[in-house]
Amino acid sequence: MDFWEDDNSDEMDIDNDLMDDCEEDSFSESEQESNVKRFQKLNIDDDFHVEYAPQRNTTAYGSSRCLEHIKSKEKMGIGDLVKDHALPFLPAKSICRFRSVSKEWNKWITNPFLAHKQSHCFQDISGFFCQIAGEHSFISCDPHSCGVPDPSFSFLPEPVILRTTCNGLICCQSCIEDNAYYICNPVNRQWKVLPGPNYYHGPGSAVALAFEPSALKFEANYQLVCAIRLADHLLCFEIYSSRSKSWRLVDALCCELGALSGDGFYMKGMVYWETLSGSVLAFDLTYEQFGIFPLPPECGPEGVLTKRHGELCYILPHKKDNEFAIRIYGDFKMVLKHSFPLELDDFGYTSGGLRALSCLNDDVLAILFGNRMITYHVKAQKVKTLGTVRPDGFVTCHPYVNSLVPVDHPLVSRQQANSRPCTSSSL
Amino acid sequence: MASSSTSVVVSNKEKENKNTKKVTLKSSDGESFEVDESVAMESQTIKHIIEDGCANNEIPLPNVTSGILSRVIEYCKKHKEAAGESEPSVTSYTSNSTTNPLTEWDTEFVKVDQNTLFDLILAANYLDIKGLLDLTCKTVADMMKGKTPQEIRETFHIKNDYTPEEEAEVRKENQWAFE
Repeated sequence: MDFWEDDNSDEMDIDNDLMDDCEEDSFSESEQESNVKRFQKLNIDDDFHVEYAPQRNTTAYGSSRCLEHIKSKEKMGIGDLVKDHALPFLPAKSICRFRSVSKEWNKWITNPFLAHKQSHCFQDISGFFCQIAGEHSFISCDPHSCGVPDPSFSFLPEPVILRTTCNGLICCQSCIEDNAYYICNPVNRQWKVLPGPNYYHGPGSAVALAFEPSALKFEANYQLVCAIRLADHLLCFEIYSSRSKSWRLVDALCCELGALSGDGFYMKGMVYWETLSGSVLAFDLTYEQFGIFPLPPECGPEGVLTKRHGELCYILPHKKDNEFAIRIYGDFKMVLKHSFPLELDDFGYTSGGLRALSCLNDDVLAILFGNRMITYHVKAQKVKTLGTVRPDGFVTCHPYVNSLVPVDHPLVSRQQANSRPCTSSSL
Repeated sequence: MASSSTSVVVSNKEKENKNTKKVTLKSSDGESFEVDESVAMESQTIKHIIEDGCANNEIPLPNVTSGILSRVIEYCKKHKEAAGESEPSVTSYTSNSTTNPLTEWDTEFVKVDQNTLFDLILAANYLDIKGLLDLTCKTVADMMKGKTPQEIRETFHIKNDYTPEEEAEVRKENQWAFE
């Protein structure tokens, strides 16, 4: 019985529905099928089956065929099913550890098709990359199941600062020379240096990484969206696309905003940057248009834009007298939706205050309390310490997903990368 | 004076019967379950059998016990209801899916002992019910993630076919994952 003849059309129909939300560009059915088929064929041994689907023979499907079909499914035991269907839901560290379970598990785990499936099935925030003064560290939400081999990024060819993360991919920037951008995944230590942009990304610019793992698109297609400051109140947008492997300036020009307060946050086809003046610049990647909406008047550097219940929200710690609370704002107008008291009595006094980092899943928030990183379950009011950061300055903390997502191997070396002309910005 | 109203009543009744077409599923231990055909078709396996005209009076499911089959039917019923009259429900477990109104129900559904959970996985695969397979496998994944390789082998009865040297090599290559 040849499994590969099947076109998995049931699987594909289901994934097509997911696709509508995920993808910013469309592609033909045959491209989808050939992508899936191509990578299923990577392993051609008979004892290796990736997806299990019934054989679809549209001509007479007599009752003997029914029994055949039912009988063939009996072959799969719990071990096989767990290998095929449960592994993709695990974080990368656990999966890598299970390479030593058996040779068959090792073969499946090192197959790029598993990496692709896992990048789509596992999207939980697994920890935070912290950096201060060129020093990198990783604080895991669950050290036994989530982690990376080298949190210092020493697998990159030069020292970098971490700019932004998205669904397992990390965007770093070189500290020297022409500040090249790197896209990498610290789990598999794969990286790619981007060719130089066409415009100068000076100190007033901000980036955002847009990467939506897709069930069908095998390659990790991402975009690095850069909001570039051309003049005092003039922003333009230059986007690098991994599909076209090139930079492109977008038509939209924003002349209504002052300085951006940092790098951006990607969610559902949109990229969001906070401004120093208390608004949010939202850029729609599909229509390549921007919009601006205000944050609540109490907003500040201790608040953060994040995703909760599938929607964008703003999380802000609030202190009154000696009582701490977490306020959550949502909807278009960023109205106050919830306020949860923070019971931190056991932690005693702390200097440095509170900073919201991210929403981990809908009821758990990650917060920096002084130099201690904690998670807070809003309903159970349970606090858990994840780790500590250096107390001697401002530590940036980026949420990270422990995904196996592959990155292109470096196709462009630093020497070959296009040199970037300095244009505009001298306004 | 015209008395043609009776025919209308009859055809409505016929319509009703058509909408609630039933199918009988028979478990391995001989118990029969009558379910709406639309609910049974949450299972792609059963759907193919019915569509290809192989379902006579009963569909025998020699690999599913009555205890598990009744749970599976419960799942299919609940999810079919939630999906309304549309295509078989597609539930995605790939994201923080609290946008899925059945999340709480599903969480309670999988609060079962390990053997039952494994049997549900086997049944979901055998009957080809993607939502149930994803739900049960995600639950098992949560249980697996902190385990050692040896614990995984014991839990799922997997034979270690590495020689000690080979196993040490793989472990060394991925030493960071063991710490």
